[in-house]
Parts: sequence; structure tokens; C-alpha cells
Amino acid sequence: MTSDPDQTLVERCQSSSGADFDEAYRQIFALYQDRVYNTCFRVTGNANDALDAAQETMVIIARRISGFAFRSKFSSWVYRIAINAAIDIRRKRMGAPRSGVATIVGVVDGTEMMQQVADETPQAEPHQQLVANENQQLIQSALSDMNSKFAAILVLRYIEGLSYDEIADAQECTLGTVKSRLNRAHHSLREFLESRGFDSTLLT
Amino acid sequence: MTDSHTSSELPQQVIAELQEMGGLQAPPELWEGVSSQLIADKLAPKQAPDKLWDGVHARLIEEGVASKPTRIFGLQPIYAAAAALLIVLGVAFQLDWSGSSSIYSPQLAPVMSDSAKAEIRSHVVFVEVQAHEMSGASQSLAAALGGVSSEVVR
Repeated sequence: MTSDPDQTLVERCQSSSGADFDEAYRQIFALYQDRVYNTCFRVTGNANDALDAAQETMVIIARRISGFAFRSKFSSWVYRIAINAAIDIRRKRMGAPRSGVATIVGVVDGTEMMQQVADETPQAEPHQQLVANENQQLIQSALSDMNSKFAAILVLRYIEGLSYDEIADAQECTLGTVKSRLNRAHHSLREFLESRGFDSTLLT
Repeated sequence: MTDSHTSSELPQQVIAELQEMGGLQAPPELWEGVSSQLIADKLAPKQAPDKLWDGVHARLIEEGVASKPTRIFGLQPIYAAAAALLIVLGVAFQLDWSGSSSIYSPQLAPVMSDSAKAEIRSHVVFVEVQAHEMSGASQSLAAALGGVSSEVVR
């Protein structure tokens, strides 16, 4: 792929070592840390798991960047690693008590549920930006509740703003799979929101 | 299906809410965790490559500290393996072939004539044993060796 905006930076990383590598990698880290963390947070649904997944992602990037061959966009590769790390951690946590915002279903019984989360996980202090609004809390609950692949595709498409091609690259699937998976993710999100009393006029 | 077509399947308000969920900033702990992991990678003991021993050993041989490895028949391992395989295949083929060919089947010795048996008996110190004094197996063995009858075995 010739038009990768990260090509120069990635090649700098690939051709350097020692302190030069550290410096080049630090730039890549700065460029991607928020996107990676945000993606991991939305898929895992809580800050602790997001931090673990984001850390895993950035370490993998540092270890494997020398072998990156630009067969896809660098950003797609980064998202692929992030999504895989997040889904992996989410699977490992399956069955274990959840922590963080994922368990906040504010619109059902806002005050009580917030208190419950605080009691269960006193160390998992909600990020300041997470307390956005009830709709977003509910959408986050939906992402945490639905099939992890559906959650991932919604995050990549709407929160991270990737094109269909980029999503296909990131998820290593065909364009047709992206479209059908996205449709099913829409359906799943709608169902969840309707069942939790999301403002029905906004769903029409 | 176009991008806009799929987007229209989700209400605009929901899409707008989703798009606003993208502003999270990574906490400083992320860099701390990643950098400490990468430092640990650098400090971790590295696994020696397979070629290390070849190089070291070659040098030790040059310096006379180590001796050259002895090889069976002086062959490279690959040739030795090939030779062993050929031998195994040859033996297997021989066994299989001999089983199907009457030429190599073992021949039974012809039954001796009575005169030949008498000639042999004349050279042998014999002990007369009554048939009823022998076990069944001994009787069979005696008969196979040319025992005249169940009455006397020489």
C-alpha cells in the first residue's frame, strides 16, 4: 500500500535501533495511544481491562513493527491488534464480576446502580469523561453486553470512524462480512436500547 | 450497499451519541506499563541462536581444544540416514519377495529310507524304552526322529 500516512514513521522505527528506535516508537505511541485505549475501553467496557488490553496492544506493536510489511494500512493493523487484545481480555473476564461503567445501567435505576458499582470496585474509579450522559452510558452497556465482534465493529465504524475497507482490513474479513456483521450489530444495539427504555422517539 | 445506506439503519441520534464516545484519553499509566514492559524485554535473557554452537565448536576445533565429531562410515548425517533407509527397504523387500517365491522356501529333508535308518541305528548306542514309559510328547518326538514303532525306540 503506497498511501499510508504512517509509512515514514513506521519505516523509521524499522530501520533504527536503541535510542533511535525508542524515539521513533514514542511518536507512534503518542499518535495511537488514545485511539487504542478508547477502542479497548469501548469493547471491554471498563477502565482496568481497557488499560490491560491497550498495554498489550502497544507492546505487541513495538515487538512486531519490524516485520510490518504494509500489506494493509498501519492503522488497520493497530486496530486489529487492539480489537483482538480487547476481545481476548473480555473473554477471559467472562463469568467474573464486571467492574467500571459497563455495569452502570443508569436509566433503569441510576442512583442505585452507580452506588452498586462503586461498592463492588472501589479501585475502579470511573474516568471523568465516561460520565457523559445517560444515553451514552446505555450504549456502552449495550456494547459490553452484545457479542464482542458486533461491539468491535460498531466501535470501529462509528466511534473510530473507519471505512468499510479499513474495517475489513482490521478484522481480516471480506467487505460482505463487514456489511452483514454491521447490520446484525445494528439490530442487536436497537434491541438492547429498546428493552432498556432508551428514548423511543430517538430510535425511529 | 453503501456506507450511507448502512448508517441509515441506525438512528441518527444513536450514531451521534456513538461518535461522541470517541474522545477518551489514555491514562498516563499506559505509557508506564508499556515502557516498563519494553525495558523488561530488553533486559530479558535472550535465547542463543542454534548456530552459536556450530561457530563455537568450529573455533575450538581450529584451536585444537575439541576434536572433530566422528561420523559413522565418515558420511554426512543425511547420507547415513539415506543408507540406513535403503538397508531397511532392502531387507523388507527381500523378506517379502522370499515369502512369495518357492525358490527360496526352506526345503524339508527327505524322509529316510528304512535301510538308511538301520545304518544310523547301527552306529548309535541305544537304550530300549517301552512306549508306555514315555510321555506323550516324548513319544511324538521319538516318532519324528524315526522311532520304529510305539514298542521300541532306538
